[in-house]
Amino acid sequence: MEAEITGNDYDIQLLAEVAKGERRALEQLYALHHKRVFLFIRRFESNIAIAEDLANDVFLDIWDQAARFEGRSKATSWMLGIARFKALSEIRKRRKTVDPDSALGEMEDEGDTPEIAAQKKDKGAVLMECVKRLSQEQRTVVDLVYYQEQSIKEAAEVLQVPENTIKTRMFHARKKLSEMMSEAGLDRGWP
Amino acid sequence: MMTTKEHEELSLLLPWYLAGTLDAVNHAKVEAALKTDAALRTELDIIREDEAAVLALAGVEQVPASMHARFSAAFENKLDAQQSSEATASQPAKRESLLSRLFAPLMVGNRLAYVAVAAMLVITVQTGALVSLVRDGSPAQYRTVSGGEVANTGGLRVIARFADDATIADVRVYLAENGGTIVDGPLPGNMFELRFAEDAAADAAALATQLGETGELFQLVLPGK
Repeated sequence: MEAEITGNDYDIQLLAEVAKGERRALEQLYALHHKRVFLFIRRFESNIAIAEDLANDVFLDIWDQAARFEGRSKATSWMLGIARFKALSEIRKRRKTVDPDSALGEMEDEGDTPEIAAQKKDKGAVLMECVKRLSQEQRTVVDLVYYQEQSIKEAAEVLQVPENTIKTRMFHARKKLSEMMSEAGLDRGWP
Repeated sequence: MMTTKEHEELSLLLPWYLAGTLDAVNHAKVEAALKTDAALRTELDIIREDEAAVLALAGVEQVPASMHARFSAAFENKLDAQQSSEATASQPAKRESLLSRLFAPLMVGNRLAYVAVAAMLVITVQTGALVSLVRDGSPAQYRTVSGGEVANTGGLRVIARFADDATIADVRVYLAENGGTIVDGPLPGNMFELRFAEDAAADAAALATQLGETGELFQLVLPGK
């Protein structure tokens, strides 16, 4: 029986080629992952133009640092770790006198409130509005788990926090979503 | 009988169980508990809704149209800077014209190469076949299979996951009969973006509901942008 080739295996192969200076390998990594890196950075950086530059910088860093990837984590986790570092560095650089965590709290809200969305849209649309209104910390973790498909260990590595913190952040994000849904008149029966 | 603490511990793991990223031991624990714990099943249903909303949001969020070209230009500059400061032998990469490097990743020819890469990565044969439909459905669009820049050609869009047992023939026939095309995918969660004519339904939400009720072809359908 043939071994299953996973996306991670292929990413690791591409990183090995990037480490040898194969530019096509970096272009393939970019084609496969630039959207996920951009969306991850958007959780930290509300300015789209800056997020775009930071995401592109991540891949330029990968060109320089691919040889340092040791394969101990998933390739996407490693890339997202670089992205997080870049995003936080940018925030620190811009606001040297402000705590990065408080700067993150100033991310602008987008779209309707869940209540307004409830009046004019369906349940799915209301839930999407609620997701947008999660705190930066909670939105980041739900994206990491559902969209970026990171395990508990991988998400903890990306965000540099203990695994239990990831689990409790996720739990509180789920709870917050249900509370917002309830406030919008859509009680989901949990918690 | 499960204790409250045991229930809480398993509840914390449910998102990863659903996402398929839980380790084997905990996966088995959750699976066993779900058979007997109705409250846990309710939680899982709610988490399924949360996951769908997060994936739908990610599906409609686009990267800036300029992003890929700007990366190519920055990468080109970096290579040039490296070349001027290092011995040529340290960078064996093949040199090409600036124009072809700037635009090659966006052109259809190269896109087909990315489609081939993506098809190699996907686990099921069916998903690989669906990727070929992505190509068929967008002959004139300049974009990458990763869901980057998508030309706005109008129509109603939905994000859909096909049923596990749907065949490529089923999908092809359905899309042909209903004027639909697959314009992007595979996206995370094995989802695909589909486009239908403006008059297919009142709006994308109505179309998503309509498609969700059409037989067994779709596992999940969400309104697109």
